[in-house]
Amino acid sequence: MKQKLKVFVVLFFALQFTFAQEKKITGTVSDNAGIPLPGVTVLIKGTQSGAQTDFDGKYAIKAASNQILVFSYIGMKTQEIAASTSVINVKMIDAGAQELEGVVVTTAMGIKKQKRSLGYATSSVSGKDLTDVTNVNVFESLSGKVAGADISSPAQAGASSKVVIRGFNSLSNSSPLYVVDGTPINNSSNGGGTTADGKSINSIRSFDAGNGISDLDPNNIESMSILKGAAASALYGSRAANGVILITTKSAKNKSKISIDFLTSTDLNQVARVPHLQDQFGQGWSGLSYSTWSGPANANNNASNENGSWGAKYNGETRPWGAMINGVQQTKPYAALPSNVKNFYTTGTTFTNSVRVSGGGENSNFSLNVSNVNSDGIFPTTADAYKRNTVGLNAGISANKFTVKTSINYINKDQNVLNTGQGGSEGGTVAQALAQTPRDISIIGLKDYINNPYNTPSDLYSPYVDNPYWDLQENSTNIRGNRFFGNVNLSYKITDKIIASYQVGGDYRNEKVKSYGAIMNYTPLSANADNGKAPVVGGVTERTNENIESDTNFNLVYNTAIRNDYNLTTMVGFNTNQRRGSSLRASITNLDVPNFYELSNSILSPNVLQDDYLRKSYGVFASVEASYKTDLFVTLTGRNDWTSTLPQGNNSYFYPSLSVSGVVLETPKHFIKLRAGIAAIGNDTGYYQTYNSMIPANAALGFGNILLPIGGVNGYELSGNLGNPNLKPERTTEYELGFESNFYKKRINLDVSVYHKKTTDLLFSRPLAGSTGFSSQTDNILDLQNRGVEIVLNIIPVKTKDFQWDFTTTFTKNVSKVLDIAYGLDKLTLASMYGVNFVAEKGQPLGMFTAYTPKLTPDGRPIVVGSTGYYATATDQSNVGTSQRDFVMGFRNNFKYKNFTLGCSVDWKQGGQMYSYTKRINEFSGNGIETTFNDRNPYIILNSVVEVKDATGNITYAENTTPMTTSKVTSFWNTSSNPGIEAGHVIDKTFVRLRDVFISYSVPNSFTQKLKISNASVSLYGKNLFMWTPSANPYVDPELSTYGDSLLSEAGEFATNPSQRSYGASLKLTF
Amino acid sequence: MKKIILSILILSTIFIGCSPDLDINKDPDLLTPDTTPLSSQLPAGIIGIVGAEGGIMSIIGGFWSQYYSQSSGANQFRNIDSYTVTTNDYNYAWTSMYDGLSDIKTVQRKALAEGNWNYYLIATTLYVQASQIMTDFYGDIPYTEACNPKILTPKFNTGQEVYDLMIKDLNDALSKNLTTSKGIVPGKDDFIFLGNMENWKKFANTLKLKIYIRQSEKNKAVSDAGIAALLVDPSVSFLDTDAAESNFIGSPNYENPLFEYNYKLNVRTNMRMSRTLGQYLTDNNDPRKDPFVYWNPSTASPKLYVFQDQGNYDVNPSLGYAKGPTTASVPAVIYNSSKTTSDPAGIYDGSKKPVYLLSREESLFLQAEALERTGKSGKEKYDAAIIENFKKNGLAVATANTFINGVYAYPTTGTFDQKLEAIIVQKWVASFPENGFEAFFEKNRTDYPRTSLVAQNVSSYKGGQFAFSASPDVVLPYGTFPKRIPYPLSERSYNANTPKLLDVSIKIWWNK
Repeated sequence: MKQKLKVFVVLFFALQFTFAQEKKITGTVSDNAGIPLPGVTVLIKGTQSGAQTDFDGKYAIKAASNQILVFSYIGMKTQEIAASTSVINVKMIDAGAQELEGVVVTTAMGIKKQKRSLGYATSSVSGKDLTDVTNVNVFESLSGKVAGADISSPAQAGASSKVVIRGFNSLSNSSPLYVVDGTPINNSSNGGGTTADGKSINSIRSFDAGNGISDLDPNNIESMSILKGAAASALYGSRAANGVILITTKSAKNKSKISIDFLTSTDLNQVARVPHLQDQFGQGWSGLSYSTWSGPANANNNASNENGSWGAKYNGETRPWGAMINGVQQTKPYAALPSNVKNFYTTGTTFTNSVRVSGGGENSNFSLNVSNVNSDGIFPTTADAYKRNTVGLNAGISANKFTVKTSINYINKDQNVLNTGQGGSEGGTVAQALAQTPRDISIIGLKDYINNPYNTPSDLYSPYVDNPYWDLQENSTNIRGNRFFGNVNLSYKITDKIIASYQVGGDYRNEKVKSYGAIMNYTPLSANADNGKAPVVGGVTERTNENIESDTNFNLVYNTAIRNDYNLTTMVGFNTNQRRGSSLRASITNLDVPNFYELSNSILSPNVLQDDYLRKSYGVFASVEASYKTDLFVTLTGRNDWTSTLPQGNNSYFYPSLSVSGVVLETPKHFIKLRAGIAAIGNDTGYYQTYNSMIPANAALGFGNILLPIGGVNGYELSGNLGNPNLKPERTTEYELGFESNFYKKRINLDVSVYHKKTTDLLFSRPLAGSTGFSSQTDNILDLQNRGVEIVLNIIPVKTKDFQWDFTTTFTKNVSKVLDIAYGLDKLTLASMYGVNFVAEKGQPLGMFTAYTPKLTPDGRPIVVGSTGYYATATDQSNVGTSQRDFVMGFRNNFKYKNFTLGCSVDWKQGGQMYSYTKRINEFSGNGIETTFNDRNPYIILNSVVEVKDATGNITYAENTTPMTTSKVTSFWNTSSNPGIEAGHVIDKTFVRLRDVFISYSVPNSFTQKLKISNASVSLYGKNLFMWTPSANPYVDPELSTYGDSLLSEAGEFATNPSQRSYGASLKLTF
Repeated sequence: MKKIILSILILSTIFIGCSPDLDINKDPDLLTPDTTPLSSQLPAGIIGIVGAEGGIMSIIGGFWSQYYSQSSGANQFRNIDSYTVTTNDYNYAWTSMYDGLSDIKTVQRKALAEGNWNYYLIATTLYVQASQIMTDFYGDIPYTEACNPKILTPKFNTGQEVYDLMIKDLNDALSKNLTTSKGIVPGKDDFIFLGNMENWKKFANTLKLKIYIRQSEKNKAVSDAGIAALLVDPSVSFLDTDAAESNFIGSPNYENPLFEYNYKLNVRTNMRMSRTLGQYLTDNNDPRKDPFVYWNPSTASPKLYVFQDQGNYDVNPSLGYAKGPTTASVPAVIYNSSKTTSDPAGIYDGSKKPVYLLSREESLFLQAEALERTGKSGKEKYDAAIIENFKKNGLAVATANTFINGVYAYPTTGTFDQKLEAIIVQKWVASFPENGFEAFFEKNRTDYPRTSLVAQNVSSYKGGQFAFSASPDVVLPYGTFPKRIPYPLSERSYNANTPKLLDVSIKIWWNK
């Protein structure tokens, strides 16, 4: 640490300047049309001293008269003017389209290239895009803003974001490779939305504590480059199958003055979407508001103990409700509480503070960023609090030919998350409790479950549901994490034409998860003891995860002009990557001492699970880029990978790519470039899939387990996952065509890409038939095709001296199709949610929903069972929807008037279906609006018939005459009685969302300079302000999934928590 | 320059290509199948099949043999009680059984290869015991090709084939000379008999008897010949003890599977006592009612028994049913978790109850029927079986005697059918609580206990007669009972050899 300090001291002294014989020079800088240009850099040549023009194009600087001022601005020709007079007005001249297209983007391996040279589509996101509104997560406001990527924002601070680039190419892991400053980082999540092995969904108890990318601080990001197609990412080899996102953190330049950036913001968080529920019927079942229990708690038989709103219509009368305790029962009006669920949530806060110090000496530079996020979400108490501290350092020193750079990031987080899903041995979930609370029972009235006996587990009004406040406060999950990632990069200029660089990087991530649930016991003779409510035995799970990734990269770049106008850049390199991890998880059930949540607190021995892994890969790569003038570029790349996770002898694979870029039109006003690429790319599989193994024995019963050792005898069983010695890598071949254009001096910008890719031998942990004795095997199982189009259109409709309007829209459409499934199968079940399956079906888009649907007559009338009046169901499941969206669009408007900027963005995701357990449970409990069909008066299912079989077995149909009586309506919405409604839980996930609105005011320079501040701005913003969903979905924010961030997340949600809406203000200062 | 590039490429390719560095893909935390001793895999196999038989199979069997009915205050087993189990329900009944069988099969395979005839006999017997339940519930099942890591779409054997193969396999295992068995000797890892190989032989022979008896209706010649051969063979003796796993310690994850299953449900009291069995016990003043039925010792005195009509968990106007009572009695096995003052010995403690793969009384009932089928009297075995079951339920032999000399007296002078009815009805009662599937199969084979001609809400209903479900959700025509469980979706989706789905009302092949 001492040494590091010294470096800073040296840097600091190197940045001291003296100013002699100076005078103040002022002036206005305008463009060639005379419109003042803000943000023009004014530098004194040969020094780091400088200024920027303010909104009115005005600047002020102190300089000696023998010095020269350098005026520079992107897209304009740089001008040098002697500081001979005290007023210097400058008219900048357009550099012409050619220079405009000289935009540099970061491409694979961190190589910066001119955008015009790329034969494939990339998208860039600037740091400003991430910080217009203050975000906790990098992807929070990017939904709809990047063509070709379907981005789902996290629901609350600390939750995970999902980025799907050009559709799903992989069944297990579909998130892109994230590369920060040249080194890949770990993006795994530990949320339990999928089972521990990540292969199937977990509907019991899950949580979303974010994925690896959630740890990044958006305030320290300079830019992001999104490499979408195979041609762009082929150099990253086997990990680039889902695209690559290159993130560059903020750094400083050599010879720049010390500057301090400061940001502070405060957000207020509110619940965004709560289910829209019915307000006509109250507590009860089958139309009755009374149930008969045994025992003294309901001596008068005058109240209901149901967990649903299937009672009579509200009449406003004052009624007793809940249990009778010592002969006393509570009373309340029998009336709706329309805002009941909403009122449960509270207003949370998010405070973000960030300070960055940066600067550069003669041969060195540094940037140090420290940020703190302190958030408490919309749930009462701190059950969803999120605290994160991040430190990011970027520094470099260069000698003649030698440059050393380092990028180091440290993250510390402390996060409480609220569990989702149905609830398990560690207690129930709030979402599950809320959905089963009758509509007339005040939720906030249940808050005090310690002193109010009617709210305690023993005497809560129903044995079938938990008090949500109990689940909130007594069942908890906490994650504490420490993470350190970064790299050191050495580069050496061997000759003018050859540069060697060597980079060693790593990502160390350690997380400790503690989750527990309280004991629930019921006092003998209390209402719920009498009702046989199963006691909750309580439990604790503690888990530590450690993931260490190390990555080394060496490359040589050789750049030469062959002849006039011809240029050749060659690169070769190799890469080694190692990922190692260990996880130790211990859990106990049956807590001994209540409210004491440690592993020692049980008479049962803890269940311990250990998982250590190690995987390695090596890669060798080369690329050759040939160019003619600045008009034609051809790039050829190749990479070969060797991986430890595929069978030895069959673990080497090669990916070539070829891309071409040609400028076909280039005038001072207009520009068109065409591009084309073809590439192959591959993917290996998870570790330890090639051999069989034995695991500690466990007999799963459906509910509960029998474990060993028992009677002093231990035992091991064959792992349900059968090893596969014949695995092959999955391969993707992608063709891409596109153009990039701008017209009328960039007033209109259009970028269009189309692609076609085919992935063969997709690896999937395929389920095996039970009779094999195994449950799954990783295998090359599927061939898949993705085709799509992505468009970005940017228009500047108005551009005057004081006012500018920028409009950008993106359009993304991806169509996937399952071409073939191995073993002659037509269908592969990826996940099951009650009666709905999420499948890959041959000839269909990836991720279809199937369910048992009502049996229909040949002319399409529903058949019901005569004796019940409920739907007869078909013998087999049929398709009931696709998870594939029709398209994703984003709209973004920026209005700039003098010092004010107003921005708003809307995203629209059209089409596709999702499974909603929230809908299912609200229908079951009679809280859903649709359950009030026909006012719950008797009706006959529309158009329904019954099957009539004559003696010879001929089938005819007769009109159905069995009505859904009031008492039967309850069971109509119960899938056990009426399985035909199961398909109804698959709903349209379309939405239109006002993603964010901000207004910011940048304080004029003339004012800030008095305060020795070089820039100051204040912003007010709102995030996730409004969302429209079709009437089929009054329930959930369709972007929420409880199933992680891979393909399975497209299956939908299982008792998810709501997303939040935020209002905030921020202040940004630069000294 | 190009040379440098080329040599780097070549060098690194050679370096990586030959690197043993990448041969690291075996999980360091886990044993491999080769390094796991038979004695460590057998217990896993046993808890696997015991878990499946004692858990979900006993639930389905218990509903369909009318021990239990779905509580009107909950939901869990409505589809069983209304005969609407679909291909998507209870898939784990199938998969968890095969999960256990896969370990048993591995033990069998290894034992055969090593010449360890002790483990070979144990594994073969267990494999057959579980397979018979599977084929009796599902019909055709994978038998020869099941549980083989090299065959991922096992072919199905017909029910008849499975029966023949089970006999063949048992004969093969019994033919080995156990004194020449090589390798380790089974001991406490044998949860069933703690390594007593004589008991294993008896168990295997009793299974053979059961397999022959089950074919008595559709395959009479084979059945009669098989039974006769077993009875005359002096080297054959039948099980005179329980083939049971009885080491459950009564705490979660280490307790009786039926108890564990219900304990882990949200509401533990989904299963209520059906009138069919309840009224039978009441009408006959059978004292087994106390150990069978839970009562709350602190409140109910005198003991309160409320039986629910089969399937009456909801209103069903067409059969004249109001919603069933919420106070219906709960079977003790799923509820009594601790000793109470009224049960100091913990006899009714469901959490520690053994799971019987074949109980002593079942063996005796089978022998009784076998004797009758070969012209000898089954009375002695029949009486012994009833006494055994009374004893198991904490009742005195003297008490049992009053019944075998009273209401349950063997119809010594009656017809064969009357004797068969007595045997099967008593076996039905004695199979409570967890071996209801056995009673269900025997009902399908013999039509005993009889089927009631009236619904249970009619006063002429007679206890012990099977009643058609009162559930409003029944889809089958009135009077058509379920005969099988449909193949699970998990098998149908991933094994193209799965036969086409048969209606739940279509009989298993041995069912006349």
